[in-house]
Amino acid sequence: MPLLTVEDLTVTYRHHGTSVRAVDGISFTIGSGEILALVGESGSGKSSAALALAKLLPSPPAEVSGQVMMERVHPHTNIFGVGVNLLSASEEALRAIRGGKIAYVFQDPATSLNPVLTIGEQLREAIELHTGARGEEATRVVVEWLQRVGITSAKERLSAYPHEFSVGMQQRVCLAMAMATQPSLLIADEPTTALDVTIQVQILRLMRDLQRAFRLSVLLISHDLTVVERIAHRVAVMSQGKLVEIGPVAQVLGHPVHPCTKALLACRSAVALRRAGRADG
Amino acid sequence: MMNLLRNRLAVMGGVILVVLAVVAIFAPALSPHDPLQINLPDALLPPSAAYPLGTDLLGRDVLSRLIYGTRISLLIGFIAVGIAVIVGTAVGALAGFYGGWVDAVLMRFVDTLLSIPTIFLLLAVIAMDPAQRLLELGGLPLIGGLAKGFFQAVDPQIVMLMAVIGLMSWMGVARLVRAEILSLKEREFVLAARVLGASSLRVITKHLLPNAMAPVLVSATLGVGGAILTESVLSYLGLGVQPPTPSWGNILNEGRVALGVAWWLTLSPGLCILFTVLAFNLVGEGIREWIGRRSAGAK
Repeated sequence: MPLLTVEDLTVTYRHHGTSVRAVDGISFTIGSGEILALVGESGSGKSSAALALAKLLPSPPAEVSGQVMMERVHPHTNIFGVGVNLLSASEEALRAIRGGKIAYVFQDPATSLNPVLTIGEQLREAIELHTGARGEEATRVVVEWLQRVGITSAKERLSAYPHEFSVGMQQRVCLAMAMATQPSLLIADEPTTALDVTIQVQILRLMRDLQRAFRLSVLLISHDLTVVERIAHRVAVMSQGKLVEIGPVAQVLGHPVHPCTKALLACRSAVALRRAGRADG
Repeated sequence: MMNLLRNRLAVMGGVILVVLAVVAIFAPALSPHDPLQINLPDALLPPSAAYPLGTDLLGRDVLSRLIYGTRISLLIGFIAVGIAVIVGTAVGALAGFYGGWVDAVLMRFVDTLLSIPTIFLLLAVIAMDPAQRLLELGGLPLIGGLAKGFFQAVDPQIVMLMAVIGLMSWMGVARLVRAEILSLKEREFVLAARVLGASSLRVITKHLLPNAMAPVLVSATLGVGGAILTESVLSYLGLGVQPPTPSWGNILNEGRVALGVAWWLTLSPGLCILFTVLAFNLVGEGIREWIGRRSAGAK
């Protein structure tokens, strides 16, 4: 049974009488423990769709319609019963879902961390908002998660500020922050785009390990097909707000049907060729 | 911090402020005479060993009066600015965060207040004697009773001055905070806080305001100097701190009539006001530069 069922999701931005349909009636599902990659050129509506899922787009200017059904995943907590439509849920219910059930990781960790709060304070916020843990208990969970995402001497790092960390470490902190409340869905919006290649590989590996360990569902947004190939199970291709192709990675990337998918693949081969050429020379 | 200490002018201002704070705190121990003790035979004596800064028309020691005046001036300066910062931050944060009609209404209100010359506004409000009006609400047992109890503990005139100066000077802070919030709320960490499930109130208080506080600190430091100056002006006009309570402004006012014969009566409070306001400005500018350099140093 899919964890998340998106039906006919549409996002329209209205501004002074003009309107742009950024996401145009897309439908897809994400299974429990599945990594779905959402790919497409920039401006194709990937990020709008991702934010619209948890009603995070400011309205106005954004208008969101359609259905986003989330199944209950923790039978023992059963907070939402069976099937909640996130788009019609109350703001209060949404606050519990955001961070609690659906967590996000963004492209640039340097700007997604608050510069005036310590790493410890920011991680503790996530935990205190969604779990009963407070004080010592919360700190213990924070340290545990920092260690789990591979930050050494985590205890001493709690009082460090984001700018004292390298970009790779910042992204690890963001991952820890997203994962600390044990969500069932992680939405990662270009999580490796701001990182250099070696760090990219580390972060992807970390994401895959976490995904396996917690049977996490992941919506991975990317325009980098090498990344997608490496960790995704299924891939959905977006173009101009529409979902043009969806299926298992091997099928979509191996036998692309839609011209947009072919175009994306062609870019990758061009880059790959150039890389190969540079390695030879 | 080291950069701040390397700025000599700021350090000089800081030293003056520390001295003033010490003087205000230890006023009873430091003043050679009772500031309220009238001693007519000693009226208008020039500075001497017994009266280091001379005496006024009623034979009171000017130095002692200045020392006690420091308390009043600093108290009014800090509390008035405290009020201005609280009101200004709240208004600016709401306007900047919510935008739309909230922003429009609040900012037009700010514009309206700013378009009236401050001193006239102050004079008009003080002429209505709000403290007295509040006491007259005695008919309403709760408010009247509270006001009475409160004003028995502290001088109503001074409380009124703090409140009026504070409530007439928050507009600058509001504009500053609004501008900061407008640019900060588009930053990704605000979205990151919202995706964590933080409420609007939490986003404002925990994520936006701490980031907006640096320029507010500068403006508050400069504001204290301004508030002290405003208090002096009002006291000089006879609308501020009422005699016999000494304040720099009313000592200056009392000295005005004897300007031809007793220069020490106006010179010393004048210099006190000058150096205090200067010190706050130097420290404020120092902090501004320090913050500027720090954010330029970071990426």
